[in-house]
Amino acid sequence: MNLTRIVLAASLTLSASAYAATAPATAPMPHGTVTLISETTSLAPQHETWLGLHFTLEPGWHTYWTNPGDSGTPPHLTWKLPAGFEAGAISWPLPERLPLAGGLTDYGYQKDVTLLVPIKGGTTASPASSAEVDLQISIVVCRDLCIPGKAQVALALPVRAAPPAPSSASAALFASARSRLPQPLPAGWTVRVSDSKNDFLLAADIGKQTSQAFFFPQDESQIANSASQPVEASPKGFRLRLKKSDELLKPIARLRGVLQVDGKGYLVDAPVTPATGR
Amino acid sequence: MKRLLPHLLIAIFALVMLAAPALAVRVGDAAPNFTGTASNGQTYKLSDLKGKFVVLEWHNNGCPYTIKHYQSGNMQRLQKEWTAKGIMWFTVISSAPGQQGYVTAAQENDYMKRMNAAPTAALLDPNGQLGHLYDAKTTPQMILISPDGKLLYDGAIDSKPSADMSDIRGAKNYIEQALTEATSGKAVSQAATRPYGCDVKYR
Repeated sequence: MNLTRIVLAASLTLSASAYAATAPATAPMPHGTVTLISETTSLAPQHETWLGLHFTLEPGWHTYWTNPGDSGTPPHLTWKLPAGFEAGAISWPLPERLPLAGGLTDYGYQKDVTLLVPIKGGTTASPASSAEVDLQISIVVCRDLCIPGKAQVALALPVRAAPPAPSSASAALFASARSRLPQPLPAGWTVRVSDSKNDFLLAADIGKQTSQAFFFPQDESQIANSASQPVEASPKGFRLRLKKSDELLKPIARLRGVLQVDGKGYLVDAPVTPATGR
Repeated sequence: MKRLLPHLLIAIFALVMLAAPALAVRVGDAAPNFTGTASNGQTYKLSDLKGKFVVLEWHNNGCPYTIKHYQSGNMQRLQKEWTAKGIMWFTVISSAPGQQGYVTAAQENDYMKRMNAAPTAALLDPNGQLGHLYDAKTTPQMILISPDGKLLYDGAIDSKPSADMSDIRGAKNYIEQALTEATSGKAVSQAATRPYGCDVKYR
């Protein structure tokens, strides 16, 4: 056999295996799986690509939101990215309220959830036929008991100068994930928060009546997670009474979190004013 | 009728106050008195311990967050160090019978021997009374009581909420900080933090 052909065959085989990442895209975790997906088929310097961590969980098991509530801890991500790339903050879908048997309340996800993370290519990122995006996830999955786990997942993606093209394979998952993300407050909505000694009062003016509202606090130790949030309907919106946490020792300047109205989530970041009048 | 009204109002007020749930204990409050039975057979009453610092450590030997601090030896190190300085350190087990973490006295004594745990004693609280008294939410959760019976610290053991042993080294140990400050006459700088761990298995 011609030596050139042998060398060519060998190098093709080598380069083919160079496109495989050192860990699979899907890995098991306690009572579930996690899959790393990319919204695009390549990465590019000076461009942002969204990655997704798609978790599936067995019935009854849950994992946690950024503020896990009274117990548990959110997933912790450790990225190993191609040179010049940085991971941004996680975009969290609207969580669920998870009441526990002992009277505590957590915030998190059941069944399935996709966390979205942007990967940004800086000026030092350079083209490569294949670059590895590696992720180690530390997670705690709970039902009545909690099981800790670690998962390692990876993707091999080319780095090209051209703007990244969308991946048709992951399009549906990303569309579904984005539909679950909390949105900015719609134009014309106002949310005002006042400090009322033992509670925060959240007054929302949304142009219509509703009694379906709930507030998920982004920061821990501000709101009592197990307290009910009485909704008082008003002609153009509602008022929510948010009981303060026992761990809150000082006044806070701003209240941040997600306001769920009629099943949809909206991002809230409002200054807290001292209550006037009553 | 007019003369009855104030009495009626007082009666209604009293009923409402009795029915209202007890306000959760907070840092700065007087630490509620308790009597605990330990796995060593002894009884401990908080009011008998005036003049000493008291640490309460909520515990569930099956909870990954508790395991983090025991498998690493972190909790045992704190117990040894501070009981040697005269602190009363109580491990508290508020798991209900049949729930994760529930132990009989013999099982707890055996566990402490195996793990080289060194609290003053392990208080068995299977009906959750002590846990509810202090509004214990997670295992671990740490409470520090001053020699004159005030709550000085309530919250997490340290600053890195996770089940990873590798996070212990780089974390700020809140209970250690509180003990160091309080025993040297200083105010506790971080008196209330969100405790992290598994929920206490009251049921």
